[in-house]
Amino acid sequence: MTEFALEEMILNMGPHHPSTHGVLRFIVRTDGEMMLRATPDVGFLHRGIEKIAELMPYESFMPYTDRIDYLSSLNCNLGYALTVERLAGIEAPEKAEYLRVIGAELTRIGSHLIAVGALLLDLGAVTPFVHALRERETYNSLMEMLCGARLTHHYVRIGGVAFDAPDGFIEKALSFVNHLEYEFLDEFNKLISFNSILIKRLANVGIITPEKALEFTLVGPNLRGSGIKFDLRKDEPYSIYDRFDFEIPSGSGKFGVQGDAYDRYWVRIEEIKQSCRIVRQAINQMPEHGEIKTKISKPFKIPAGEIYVRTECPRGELGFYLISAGGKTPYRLKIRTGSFSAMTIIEELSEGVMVADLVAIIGSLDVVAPEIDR
Amino acid sequence: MYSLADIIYRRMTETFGASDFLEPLFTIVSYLLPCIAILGIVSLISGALTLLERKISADIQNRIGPNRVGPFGIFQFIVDGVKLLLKEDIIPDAADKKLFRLAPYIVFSSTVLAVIVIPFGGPFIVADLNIGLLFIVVVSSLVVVGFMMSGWASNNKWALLGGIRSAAQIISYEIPVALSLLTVALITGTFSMQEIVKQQGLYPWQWFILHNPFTFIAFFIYFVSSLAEINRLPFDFPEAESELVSGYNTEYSGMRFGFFFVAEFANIFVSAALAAAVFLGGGNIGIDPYNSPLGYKLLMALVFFAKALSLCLVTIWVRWTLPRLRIDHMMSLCWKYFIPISVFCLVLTAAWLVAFKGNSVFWRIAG
Amino acid sequence: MKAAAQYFKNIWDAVSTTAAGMRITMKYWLFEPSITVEYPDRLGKGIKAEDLAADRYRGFLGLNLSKCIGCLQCMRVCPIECIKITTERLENVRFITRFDIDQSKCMYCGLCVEACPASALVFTKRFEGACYDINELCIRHIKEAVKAAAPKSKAEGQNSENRTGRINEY
Repeated sequence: MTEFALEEMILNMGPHHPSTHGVLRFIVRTDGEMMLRATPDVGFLHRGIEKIAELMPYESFMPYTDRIDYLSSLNCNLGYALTVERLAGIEAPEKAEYLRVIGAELTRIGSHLIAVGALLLDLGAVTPFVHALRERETYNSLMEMLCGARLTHHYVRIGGVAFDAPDGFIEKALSFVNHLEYEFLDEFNKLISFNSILIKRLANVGIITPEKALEFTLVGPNLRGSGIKFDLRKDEPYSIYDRFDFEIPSGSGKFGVQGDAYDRYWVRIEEIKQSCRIVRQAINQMPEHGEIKTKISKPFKIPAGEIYVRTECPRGELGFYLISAGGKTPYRLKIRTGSFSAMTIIEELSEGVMVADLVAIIGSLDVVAPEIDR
Repeated sequence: MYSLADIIYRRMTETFGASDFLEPLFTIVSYLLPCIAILGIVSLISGALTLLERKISADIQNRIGPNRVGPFGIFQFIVDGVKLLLKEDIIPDAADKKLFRLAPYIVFSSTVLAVIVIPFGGPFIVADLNIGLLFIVVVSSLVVVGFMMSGWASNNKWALLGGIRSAAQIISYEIPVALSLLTVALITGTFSMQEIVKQQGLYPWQWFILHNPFTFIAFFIYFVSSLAEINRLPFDFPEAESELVSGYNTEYSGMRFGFFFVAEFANIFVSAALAAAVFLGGGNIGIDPYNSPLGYKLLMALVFFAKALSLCLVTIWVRWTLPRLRIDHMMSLCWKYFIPISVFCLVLTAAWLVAFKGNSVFWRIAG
Repeated sequence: MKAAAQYFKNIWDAVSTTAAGMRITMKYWLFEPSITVEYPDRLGKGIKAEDLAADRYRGFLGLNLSKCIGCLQCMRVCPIECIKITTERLENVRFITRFDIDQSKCMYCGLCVEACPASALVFTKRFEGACYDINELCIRHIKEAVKAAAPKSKAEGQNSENRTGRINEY
């Protein structure tokens, strides 16, 4: 007689899998459809960006910050520029700050559109994903007008921005945010957000209590999805974010328990609206003329010292810890990203859920592979 | 029992004269000819459906879709088929090679078998079995064997999960499908497909979907359950792309994959055709299907295809709207909602037939 | 009783939200035009691929040799060292003997264009770089030694109008 032992199945989810958002790998132990544990295996996209920073001048490292997180390159540019500026004691001109904010919030919209769309794609809804990408196309061409690149923008410079807004950019940006806030999102919500299948898939799945969120140092929309209203734009305003009137959406258990996947999804939808508001205000307040870049000394050197600056990226807090030894290059640059801390919680959340839920959890945490590994 | 096979058989005996010696040959030929025709038609229809699916999904998503091969890209599916034929056929080293080769044919043939009893309007039916309805229900669930086989033989964990999922899903959804079809069988008192079509009429109020409120519900239960049976979104668990990579057909390539692909789309047509025949009056235009001019016969086929095709369009339309359910939700939908409701419909239809002496809601209008 | 109400509410929710979604997809299916740009061969009469790019588009780097003063600024600022320039001095005249830009390495950040004091290095709108040999993308702008242009005064060199001026040679 052969004895049949019940055994666990070990699945390799990734590095090449349709729903791992880049090159990610999960070692999944399952018992049939039920998941026992999913262990993330990171490092497939490690490019040594922190080491590269030590090898080149401060200005030349700027294009590399595009590649930290390719979906929100302008926000990463901004974070790095602010870090260097604060340590060097430079201030960007007023108009440059407004242009930075407009660019950063547009990028946030674009990033959230793809985050929401990719989550829906993982849940099998293809049409909303394509509709979200259609709107992102407008954002892409807006950024192409502004800085000449569609993905890796490299728009912010140390001491300002690269270009002034071209003719027609302001009008196009305004109509984009108006269309998004008043037309697109309503339709999108009707199409998919309030769909009862989607609610069933996301509500009560991957619940992160506020305590757990703090324990795992979640940041950004993932933290706010758990009901903690913490946003660096409001709580520790950098650049000129203190001049704008906007709200911080947070999860309240709209269709399930506070901190579930639906809350994180909904926070992103609401944040798109708030970003639209900020863009509109920034466009109204922006001075017509003015300098866009403070002259920096050449060769650019920073006096010895160290600083940690954190900014609110679409994927949460993006921190740059910069040590300067007084030379032309940084002595050390440490980058702290939101996706990495989001990855750590997946192992905890994956216990006892179904394979399909793991996909929803990864999608709702909006991890981007290059940001995890840098 | 009038069917294409019978007609051909009679023609042959009339021309060549009846003889015991030739009789088996006549029988074989009379069934073979329509079967070959059906195979061609099914392949053509599933090809057309792939094109339609791509066009409609493109329209829904502000895209254009295939438009390079032929006018409006209508020959795209032929090119796709040629591409699949020319592709390298890879069989994994660790696969169970015999089962791996066999699985696509089982899936494909069980789909095509179901077409035998589909009444294409008028006299166009390969074999009008007196158990037609049951035959479809039985044969279409043979697909499970093929899916399980491919999932197991691939020696791939994702494929295995897909195969097991399909078994759980298709077997569960057999029940509501069969029960909702039974409500109609109660009314007709026969399983013969031609007879079921014949008892309906040209006008909507003569169709069984509007016979009574419960057949109306049964139609929708049938339609949604058949989506699950043919693995369409929102029930496409066996091949759930973002979860199981590609499910049971992960390891297949070339024409073996092509067989799965054709079977999938042929299944859409079969379930739509069944719904059209059983609930929507099929090709019945109120004329005797056998003793009428050829023009009317073709018109009946046209009516039937129009109904079946519009149901196919709805299937595609649903797919590009909804997200995928989770497997436990799918099961609870089946066992908690569809089965109780379809049993309820069956019982109440029986009660209706007793109470109103078998008349429909519109029996006064229908006369 | 409450459970029964919930049961029917679930059915109603599923049906109504699905219907709402399907109404929207039907609207797109039947009425909304497509937004696809049929790149590369069906862009419309007389429209080239380059015309689709914005004015500031960062495509291949173009070099205006008559302006280049051979200052090596672009080479120094490039983060990935894809620009290679050599100059030689012969009887007090500067000659540029080599000016290679490896477009396959370039990450189109634009630092070199900003650094160029003579506005000799500019972005073109060309972006189609597909070729059979990757070495073809290493564009050698100088075939034989060229005399470097005389450095102009700083104010003239920094003129922002020149910066966006485009040339059509690569």
